[in-house]
Amino acid sequence: MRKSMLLFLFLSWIPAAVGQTPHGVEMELESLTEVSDDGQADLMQLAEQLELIREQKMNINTADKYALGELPCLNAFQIHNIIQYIKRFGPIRSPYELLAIHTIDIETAKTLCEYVFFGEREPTQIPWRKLFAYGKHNIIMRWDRTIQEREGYRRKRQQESGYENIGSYFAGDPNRYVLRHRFTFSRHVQFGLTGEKDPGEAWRSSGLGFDFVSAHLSISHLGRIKRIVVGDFQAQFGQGLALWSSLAFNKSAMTLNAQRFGRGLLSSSGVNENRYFRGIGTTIDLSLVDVTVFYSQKRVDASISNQHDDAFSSLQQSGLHRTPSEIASRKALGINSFGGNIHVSRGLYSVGATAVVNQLDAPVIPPEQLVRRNQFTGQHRRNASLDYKWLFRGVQLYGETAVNEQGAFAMANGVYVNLNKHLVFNLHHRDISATYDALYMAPFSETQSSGSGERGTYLGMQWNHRKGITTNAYADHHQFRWLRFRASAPTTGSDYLWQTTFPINKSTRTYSRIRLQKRDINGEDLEKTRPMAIEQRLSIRQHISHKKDDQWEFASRIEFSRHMLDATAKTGWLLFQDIRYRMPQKGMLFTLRYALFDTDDFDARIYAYEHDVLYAFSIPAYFNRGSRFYMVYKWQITHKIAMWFRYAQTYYYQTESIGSGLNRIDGNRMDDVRLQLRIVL
Amino acid sequence: MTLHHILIIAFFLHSGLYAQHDAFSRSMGNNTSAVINQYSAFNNPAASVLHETNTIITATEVRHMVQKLAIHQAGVNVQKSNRAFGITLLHTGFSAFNQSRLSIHYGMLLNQSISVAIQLNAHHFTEPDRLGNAFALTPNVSLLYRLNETVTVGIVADNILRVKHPFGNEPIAQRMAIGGAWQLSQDFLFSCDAEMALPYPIGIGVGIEWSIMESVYIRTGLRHSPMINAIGMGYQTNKTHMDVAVSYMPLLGATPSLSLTHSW
Repeated sequence: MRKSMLLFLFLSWIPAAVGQTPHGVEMELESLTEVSDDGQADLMQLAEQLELIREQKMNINTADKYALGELPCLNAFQIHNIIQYIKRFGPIRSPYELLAIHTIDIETAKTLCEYVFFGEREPTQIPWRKLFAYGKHNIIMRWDRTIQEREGYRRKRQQESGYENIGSYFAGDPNRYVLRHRFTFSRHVQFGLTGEKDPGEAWRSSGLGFDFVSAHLSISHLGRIKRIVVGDFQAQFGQGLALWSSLAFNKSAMTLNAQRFGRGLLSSSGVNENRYFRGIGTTIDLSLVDVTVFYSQKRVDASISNQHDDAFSSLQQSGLHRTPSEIASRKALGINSFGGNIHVSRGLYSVGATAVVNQLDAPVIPPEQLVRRNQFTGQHRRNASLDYKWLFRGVQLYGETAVNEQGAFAMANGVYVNLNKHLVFNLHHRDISATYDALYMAPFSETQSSGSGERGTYLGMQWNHRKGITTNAYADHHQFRWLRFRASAPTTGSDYLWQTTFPINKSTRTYSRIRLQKRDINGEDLEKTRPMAIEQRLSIRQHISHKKDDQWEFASRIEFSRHMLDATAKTGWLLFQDIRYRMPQKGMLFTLRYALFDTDDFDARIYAYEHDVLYAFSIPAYFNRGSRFYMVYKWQITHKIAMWFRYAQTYYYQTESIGSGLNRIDGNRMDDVRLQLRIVL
Repeated sequence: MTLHHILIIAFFLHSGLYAQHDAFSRSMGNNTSAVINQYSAFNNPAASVLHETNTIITATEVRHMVQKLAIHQAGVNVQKSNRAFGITLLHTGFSAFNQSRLSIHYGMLLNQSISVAIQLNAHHFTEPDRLGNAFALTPNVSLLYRLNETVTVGIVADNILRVKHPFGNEPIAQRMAIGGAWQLSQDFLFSCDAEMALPYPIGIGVGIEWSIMESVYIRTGLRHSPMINAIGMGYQTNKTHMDVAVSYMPLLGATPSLSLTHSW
């Protein structure tokens, strides 16, 4: 009876889900931004990967465990059970069959349907003769800019008018342009070309004029060659300790996602200008063993050292080349990288070994500051690691141990325990030596892309109650064994999250979330002693979303934040209403948000996901006091051509300027426009 | 101008423009953005579309502490063919400062469970001693949707175009209220609101109505900013409702309210 009820709910949900941004992805992205202030350019790359899978959809009957591991909605048991189900009963024919798979509940099935289709087994040989007949070209052209003039452009005008001593300025115009062409054929062949010019960057005389140009060709299933990638690519192995060039999700409301699912070599299609490889790589299937090798030669942004000749003080990550100093650091340092991985997968266990060598053209010598003592130094970095996964009944063990050439170790080990269909735990421990580093690492950690010196234990839990109620919770305790930014001593911290999602009915869902973060940082007292203080962030969110039919969709949210440091408390509130309206017969989609926010300052900021044009994501921080409005209009002009227009406006009360430095805008209002055209051939 | 007057004016720049002054809303602690009833023309015009009756409303409240500071409201709402049209009038103030607001709203049903309304408010401010008279026009939009037979969500956004206050440089309060109403049973109605009216702090509150016998209701409500504790009761004849409330606010003391509606 209960199965029948679930099936009924699922059947009634299917039409409503089409074209909807998955709830889980929004939460992942919001959570990721809350944890990291590293910049949203990286987030775009990560989010685009998910959007790309959603758009192209994955054939669930042919996807391997690594491909399924990319999906944010599946844990290790669910992946294993899907693969075992297909082995035992043959291809899954319809979405409804998912509910017959052990550990797949209705919520998971809903989200999974966003990413997969239920096709037949694909031929292992590439039908080359059909390449151009059935291949798909996807061309994206995007323009965006902020209407108000920033300080950097004002100074540029002054500089052009002959003023002297104006300081730094932006060399280019405030427009951002992105051009992207991607050719795909049956998930076997993919070619991509991306060009990007950021706001403030000048057009260049080479590379189509764009400041950043990226291209790749990827071919899969070419005989024993599982995949070959030429051009720009990413490498993901193990748990991200030795070699993981792209970014990966960390702590979020998807509380069972501590484990990394490395996909080996992947084409790089994002606009992150530093975290990728450029060269050639291949994975060869030797029946029992997959062997991956790659070679990369590229130049990255690096700051020239003021203290040492022919040396650099640090590697840059922003990818921005707007000011004279940023332009001077553009592609200043060459890196040759080569490495590989051997991976053995047999039934319920798999083991892998990874090695990578990075050779720099010139040494990196950080300034002599205590906080930077353990930062990357020297002209080369070699890392090696061993990783494993073992699944036995309701338990899965996984982990990786890595070492660098200094003999510093890093370890990440975890276990999934599937107590029953309703309750799953994920325990994850990481211990990264203060002297361990790798040029391309992305372990599950407190910090976004490094984690050096971090030791911590994470316990995540998902409890699927009856009637579709789901509770996700985690507790994480960590310590840093060396100094960090804003922490002049070894520190400890903790992070707790509790979220319960209630499906009120088939078209309405609400969730309540509370998150508490504590960490040691420098106190407000800036005297020599710099006593450590406990920084505490509390956020409480209530969100409700409602989708009555194919046309109307609503979401409302109220969120409270509280930041405490040295007994000084700052609070913030956010209130917003979203409205989405579809006109399917005319191919139009309108999205509107109206938000009021009131926070004491930036410390009490609140992040919220915003809908955007395809492949672009906005998760702005709402802070100070004001209102924000945005609208996105999508028009599917023909079945091959689609257009997006986005307009956003933020208004601040009792403020004379927005931002600081070269990004400062005089006035209390900021307007952003974005236009995008997509042609699919 | 005394500090007392300044405080009162500051309060009215905030709540006088938008606060819900009818006795029903007062007794529910002003937490009625999602309630569908005869007072919806005052509290959420989109809800008046779903009320499906024509209504005449009058309301008045008198400050016990500052007796000449009364608020008077009147309105009419006409509902026909899934559309609603209404006019409401509000007047408040005293000799040193007063304001009037004439509002016209038009609402429509988008589908069986969603209604939307737009409202245009014409404000008239008077401060005879120094600033004289001034006018301002502010638009607002409101939305109401049913989650099921018993639960509704209402949203009201005032001054979405950030029209400036004629007596100052900052906009007239930008207000947004998101509320929920749950008809727990035939006898109990629960409502809650979160209301932000910039630049004032957010207010969150709850209200509950209990039908103790046929046609007789008692109500109580709480709100935290501005702090309101309220109780009230209502009596309903065939077409007429009479509601009374007493709300207590630290700044203005106890405030009795009386409202009368007639529906047909």
